[in-house]
Amino acid sequence: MAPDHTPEPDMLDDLLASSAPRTSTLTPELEHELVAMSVDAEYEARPAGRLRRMPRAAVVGIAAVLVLGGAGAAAAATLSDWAPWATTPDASFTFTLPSGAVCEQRYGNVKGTDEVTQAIREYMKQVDVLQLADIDAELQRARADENVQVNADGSQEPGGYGTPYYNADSEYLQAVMQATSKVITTELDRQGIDYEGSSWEGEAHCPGAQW
Amino acid sequence: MTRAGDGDRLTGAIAAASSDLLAYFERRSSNPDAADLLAETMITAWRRVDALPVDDEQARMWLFGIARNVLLNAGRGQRRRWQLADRVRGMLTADAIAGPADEGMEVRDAISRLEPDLAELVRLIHWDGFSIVEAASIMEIPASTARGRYQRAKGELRTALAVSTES
Repeated sequence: MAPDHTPEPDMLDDLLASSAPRTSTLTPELEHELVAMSVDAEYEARPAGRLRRMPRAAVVGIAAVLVLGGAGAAAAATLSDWAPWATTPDASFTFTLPSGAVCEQRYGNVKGTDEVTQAIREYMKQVDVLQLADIDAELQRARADENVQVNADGSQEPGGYGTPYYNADSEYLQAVMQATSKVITTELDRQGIDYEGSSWEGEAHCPGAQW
Repeated sequence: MTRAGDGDRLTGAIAAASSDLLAYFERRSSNPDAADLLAETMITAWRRVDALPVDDEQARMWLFGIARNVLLNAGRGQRRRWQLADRVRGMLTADAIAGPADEGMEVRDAISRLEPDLAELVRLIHWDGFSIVEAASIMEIPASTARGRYQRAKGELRTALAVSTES
């Protein structure tokens, strides 16, 4: 689209336009990858439903929402601190973060077809999701991701696990959310249930956590 | 609350804008960073899908507004190398090898010496092809303010580059 700034272009306009840095050629392969990135981004955006390591063909609409009850809010946690749906959750469990803070995790607000919602609710009531979750595996996967710390002067250095920028509580909570979420989707896959477009939510309150 | 169809509309908006967003980041950062910045923009957009404007053009401006904030926030602090950006990152790195590095450098240097807001206005208009009104929307400033800043920026650039107004 044309700039609406001057009635006639002048030499300066030409100079400015031609000074634009080069950009990559948009090949069909790159276009394909941009579409794939958008699909992956949708799932990356859902903390407990981070299914990005699933084959792309298997990516479906499962959502989970993480609500962190921070130190201030959770210290005085009452029933009203939880989202309305979380006052009558389908499943809840507790676990301890590396700092020693105890988290209460609640799952619920399941949405989707009757088949999916019934299957998820029944499964959550039947099994101890936390017991089945492979949290260590999720921690290892998270640590395999590269994190970069960008300093004020623009210099970069390693971030994440093993660096001063690492946050153990945050990493562990993410791992629990992802691992427990994966337990549920694995069960739905085992039952052959199509859960595209379905969703559930998770909320964790962790008084005293060191985020 | 997510409105019905928001997800489909955001999918469409991202598909329509992703190559332009990628170019936006490539013009302002190193190629490997551009892929991660685009990934972060997409993730942020999905997290805020509830705020997606209904109008298609407004949705496009909204995405570029997110991109601008991602770029500003990337100046310091923790920056993640997103796994989902791995393949795109590799493609951009290969492409960056081509082309003379100093092409247009004098003009880019002159732009970078402007006040940051003036410089970004010039980039949005002349590098990314936005109108002043669109650039103002992305920068979240009134169009009248953008017009004044743009004229000021061009005046400073004309002096710095010793360019006349002749066509």
